[in-house]
Amino acid sequence: MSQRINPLLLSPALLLSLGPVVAIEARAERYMSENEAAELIFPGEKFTSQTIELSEAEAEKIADISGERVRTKQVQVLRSPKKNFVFIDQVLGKHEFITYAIGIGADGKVRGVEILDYRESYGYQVRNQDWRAQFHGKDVEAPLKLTKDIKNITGATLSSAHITSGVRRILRTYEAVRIRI
Amino acid sequence: MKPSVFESKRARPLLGTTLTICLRTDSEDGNPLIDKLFQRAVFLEGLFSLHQHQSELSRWNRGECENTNPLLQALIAESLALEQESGGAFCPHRGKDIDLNGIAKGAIVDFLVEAAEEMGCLGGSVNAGGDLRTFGDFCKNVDLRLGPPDAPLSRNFSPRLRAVASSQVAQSIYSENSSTRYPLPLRANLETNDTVTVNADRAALADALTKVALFGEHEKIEACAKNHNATILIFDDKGEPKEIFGIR
Repeated sequence: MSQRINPLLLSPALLLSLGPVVAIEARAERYMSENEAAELIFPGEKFTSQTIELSEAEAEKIADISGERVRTKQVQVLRSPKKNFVFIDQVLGKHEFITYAIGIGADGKVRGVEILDYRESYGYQVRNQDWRAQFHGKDVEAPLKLTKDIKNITGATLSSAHITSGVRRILRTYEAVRIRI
Repeated sequence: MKPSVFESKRARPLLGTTLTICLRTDSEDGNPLIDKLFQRAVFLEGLFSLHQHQSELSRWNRGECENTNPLLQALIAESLALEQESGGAFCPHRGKDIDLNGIAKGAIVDFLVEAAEEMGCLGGSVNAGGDLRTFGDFCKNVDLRLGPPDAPLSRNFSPRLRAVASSQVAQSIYSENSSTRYPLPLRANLETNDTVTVNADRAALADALTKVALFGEHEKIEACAKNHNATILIFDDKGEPKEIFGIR
């Protein structure tokens, strides 16, 4: 069984350096917009946005080759006149929902990946419903309330594993739909 | 009136985690500087990562390096010295190979901070999956993430020094399938939902000392923390400090 230390053993300075313990219900952070990501990955280019609907067969093939389930058949992609593309994708962890942009050049190579925003939730309501259901499709019906600006967070943070898997799936998606976009 | 200080913040999946860089500059667009720092991170990962077959470390382990990069040499030397000092609790080995997994992320954070300062940034922070360091004119308060992974707790911390690293015990348990794969057993006094937090002047040190605190003997942890002017706090599953080592 753990034993708490006597607070008197901590120096006054260290005691004062620690704020109260608070349960984390939800957090969100927004880094940039889709257009800002496109500008960063392909500077100076103009992009138009479109949504592509994957067929059942395409979704199955993408899942099969990438090893990643296709969560939604609606694919959001920005396209430039030079045939550079920026796919906007979302990945789900157990408690995290991350939106990111992946730039793919006309040569089919990845030009950059930028995280756009993330949300995490541990609230009572979330634990008692299908958390993922609220993120089906593009529209989020009940966006999580942004918490106050927290600059530096230490401890367990976002894993990049989901994004890495997402990139793999998006590359297969690009191959499947490149003729159409 | 136009502001004279601008803040830019971006995050990318890098170093096997999320690398977040925040810069305060007197230039409206800090993004070109952040781009350079991301590129530098990729270069440094190419030096220190054992996961990359063609990294300089991997080639060094295979005896293929004629002129080893001095940054890699220095990090290997620091790791071996800390191994000795900690009685083996900090373990930079994987089989016969040198493995810098326990210190490399923190070291990269330090190099990026130094690079940002050289580029003239007024302040900022570099955070590699929770191993973080602030610098210059930037808030140094840290939000500690504590408690069980499925019901985390938060506690604001105003650190004495600018680098903070945390490790959750639950994610440090040795397993063939875990990304940690640290080859030592956890210290007996630790419980699954405890969190180790280290405050030091460099992120590499903070990163490495979390391993000393997780796997070392009590006396070695205290000696290492004091010797490096660091503070090590162990928090329990309620977010309350249960152990303290080093500078109090």
